[in-house]
Amino acid sequence: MNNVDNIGTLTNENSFHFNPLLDVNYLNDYYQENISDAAFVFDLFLNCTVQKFYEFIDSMLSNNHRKVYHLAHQMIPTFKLVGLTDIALLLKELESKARQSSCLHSLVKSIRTKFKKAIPIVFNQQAAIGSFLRRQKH
Amino acid sequence: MLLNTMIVDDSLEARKILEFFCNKNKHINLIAECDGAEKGLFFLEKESVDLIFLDMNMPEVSGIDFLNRAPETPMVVFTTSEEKYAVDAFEFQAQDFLKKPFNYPRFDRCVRRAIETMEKENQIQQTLSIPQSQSLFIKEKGRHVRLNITDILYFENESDYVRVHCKDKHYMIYSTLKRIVEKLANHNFMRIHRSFIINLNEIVDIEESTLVIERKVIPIAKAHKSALMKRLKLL
Repeated sequence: MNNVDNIGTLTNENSFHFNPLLDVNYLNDYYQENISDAAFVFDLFLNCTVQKFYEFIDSMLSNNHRKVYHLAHQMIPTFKLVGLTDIALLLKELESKARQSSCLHSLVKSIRTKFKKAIPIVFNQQAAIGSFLRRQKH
Repeated sequence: MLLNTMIVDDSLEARKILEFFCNKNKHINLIAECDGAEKGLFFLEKESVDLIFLDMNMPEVSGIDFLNRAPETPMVVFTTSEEKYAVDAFEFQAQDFLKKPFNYPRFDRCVRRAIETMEKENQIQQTLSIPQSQSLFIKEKGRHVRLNITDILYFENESDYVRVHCKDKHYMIYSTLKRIVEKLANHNFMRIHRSFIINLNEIVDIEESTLVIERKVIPIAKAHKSALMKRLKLL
């Protein structure tokens, strides 16, 4: 993911365009211009899934592979729904490896790095969705 | 038509998204959100539920365990991110199979299909009993046997087979209760439990959650109780 300072979300009065640093094809296909649905899900991700992610990291650090698998499984859909399909794929890979208790550390490190870069993008996207919806109301 | 709906899913995000979709849909009356199968089973015992959105992959008690333990299940929609449960959906005659993450248009189509199913079932149950033929043929052990419908006491599900209990004999046939109830739509038969279809004319006694036919005590599922009471008033 690129430097967050250069991110802009292009919008116009009538349609909303997702941030190109997210999986725009997936987001357009899923939301189909129901931007209020997107607002709900982005809020949900930031209020619930982020917390779950930290719990996931803690479980990894305490070698609780069963919990790692379970949390990864739960997070995959919401990561997709905010356009972080690349991280979702890594979580899917980790989910299958966690079942076999394989070495997960390098995979978790990769997920963690991507997550850290992605969070400001998702925050910005949530704000842009909110502005767009407020403009639509007026 | 309003469907009394329950969500059973251990994931908070999954429950919240489903709740959001349910609140958008005019046909859904969301009556419970359960974060696990045990709570779902407990609620199902107490309340009348038309539709369940059931997560298949839960720790402790899975969606399949839930279905095996539920005394009677209303329409069930499997929700899961794994396609492997599609076979189970077929075997358990699930109403629908929603692969996560699913969007609102997909959810809405699922609800519309559930409404159609519910309307069809209501039509079958409310039809007056107009006898068209008083006998039917069953195939048992390779031969065709003619039965008088009035001799049939009840049907009992036994795994992949159905036992047909008649006044003087019983037969084992390869069928499903769902198919049988459709064939007997115009006769005084009714499904009152996941495992039983009864001849309404043969009821000897009814208690709170059981009835008696000849000397057999047959359970009445909560989900069928009120429909049974309504139907008996028509006789």
